[in-house]
Amino acid sequence: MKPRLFLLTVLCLGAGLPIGYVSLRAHAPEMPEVPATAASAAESYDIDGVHSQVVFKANHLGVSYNYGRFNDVSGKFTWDAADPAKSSIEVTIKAESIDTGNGDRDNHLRGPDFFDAKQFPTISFKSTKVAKSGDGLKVTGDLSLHGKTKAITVDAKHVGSNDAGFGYRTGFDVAFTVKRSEYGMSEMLEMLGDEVMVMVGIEGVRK
Amino acid sequence: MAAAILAAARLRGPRAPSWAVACAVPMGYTAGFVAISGWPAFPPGMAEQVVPWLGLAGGLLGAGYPLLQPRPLARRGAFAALAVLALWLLQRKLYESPWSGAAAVLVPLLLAAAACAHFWLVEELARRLPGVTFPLPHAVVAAAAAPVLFLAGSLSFARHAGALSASLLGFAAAGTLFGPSFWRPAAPALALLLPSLLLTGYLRTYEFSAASGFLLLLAPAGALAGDLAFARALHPLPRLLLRIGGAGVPAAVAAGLARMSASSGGY
Repeated sequence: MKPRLFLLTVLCLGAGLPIGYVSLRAHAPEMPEVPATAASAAESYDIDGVHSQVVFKANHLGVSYNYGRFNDVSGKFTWDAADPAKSSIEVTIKAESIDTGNGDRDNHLRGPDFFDAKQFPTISFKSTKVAKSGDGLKVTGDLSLHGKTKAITVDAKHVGSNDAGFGYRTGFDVAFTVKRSEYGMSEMLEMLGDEVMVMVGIEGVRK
Repeated sequence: MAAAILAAARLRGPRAPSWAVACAVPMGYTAGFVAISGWPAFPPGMAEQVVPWLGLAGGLLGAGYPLLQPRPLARRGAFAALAVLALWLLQRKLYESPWSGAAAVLVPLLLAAAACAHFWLVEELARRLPGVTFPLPHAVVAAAAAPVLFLAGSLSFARHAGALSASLLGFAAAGTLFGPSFWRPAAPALALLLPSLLLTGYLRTYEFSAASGFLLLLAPAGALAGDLAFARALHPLPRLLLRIGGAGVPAAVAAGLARMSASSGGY
């Protein structure tokens, strides 16, 4: 009996494994999340500027929101999935890379009325604290913009991790609001909203 | 503010005192600057905050004209030193110098030389143009600098040029309270304010038309059209209009050039 039981078990496992695999594939997201190899240790990532976006929207004349983005985003972060408090991030954005789809408007935004990119060429964020908050994160750090540095706290969410042949990657989604007047950008407040909503998609490649 | 300073000086006597002539325009400009952009920090943190301080330094130099007038070398040397200081201050806060290699030495030297030539021009105009015919063409040129700076991409710099123009108009209006006066003390401040404002626009905006800038610096010389042979026979008012037009036409051309060089005509 014992050899027969063993054979039956092997046959069941042999048939069940592929069935289970197919079943898992059918229910999993297209890009399944791959756990970090050392889940308890903070891992270092370089921000992939091509797959990271900083998009903003600002009110125009009180009638609509105009959208824009920065095309040059770089930086690095460390991510500890088991203990997010050990994570950190540094992001640098070239102010001249602003792109709202209109050359004249972009030059005006690059100029002294707004970002003053010749005098303040970079916008940067450096975290000072990362804390878990529900199923997301609260990231506190220093935002340097237009020559002024202020502490802000932003909501972030870990989107996922994947190793699909392009290097091990992990990414976050971030959204926050800044008041431009607090950073000395007070021109045309009556036409363009003071509050600017910023949406950031960060994707990093593990070093 | 410029008019108030001259009007207050008029209470003390029929002749415009040097300090009032020298300081009226830069103080008027500074008052306008404060209204538009707040108090200019000292030491200045941003290049545009340098401009009112330079104007006031020019005003102090002009206030010393009773002493410096017989000493042209000392007067021009002091202005040249101010021009070099202005160039250094205006570009020192920039992240990277707009010039590299040999140009990093040559261009600032050429700009300082151009500022000195402009100073000489303004002094000559102050000597040759009687009464309000001296400040009025400058007011027209400063007014034309506003659209040039706006089209370059800065509404705030354009408003600063507007403040300079308003200050010069006030100076001209209050100048009518005096008889033929000694306007040369105003030259250092005038010769620093407009070039500094234009250079700030060149250094900090993205579509500044350099041709417009140079044309604006030369435009006040057009006021000498009133000294042409045929113009001497004209009545004072048409002659004044000819002087204003002589400066205004190249200033308008400068604004037109700036409009043409703007990338796509607004948004």
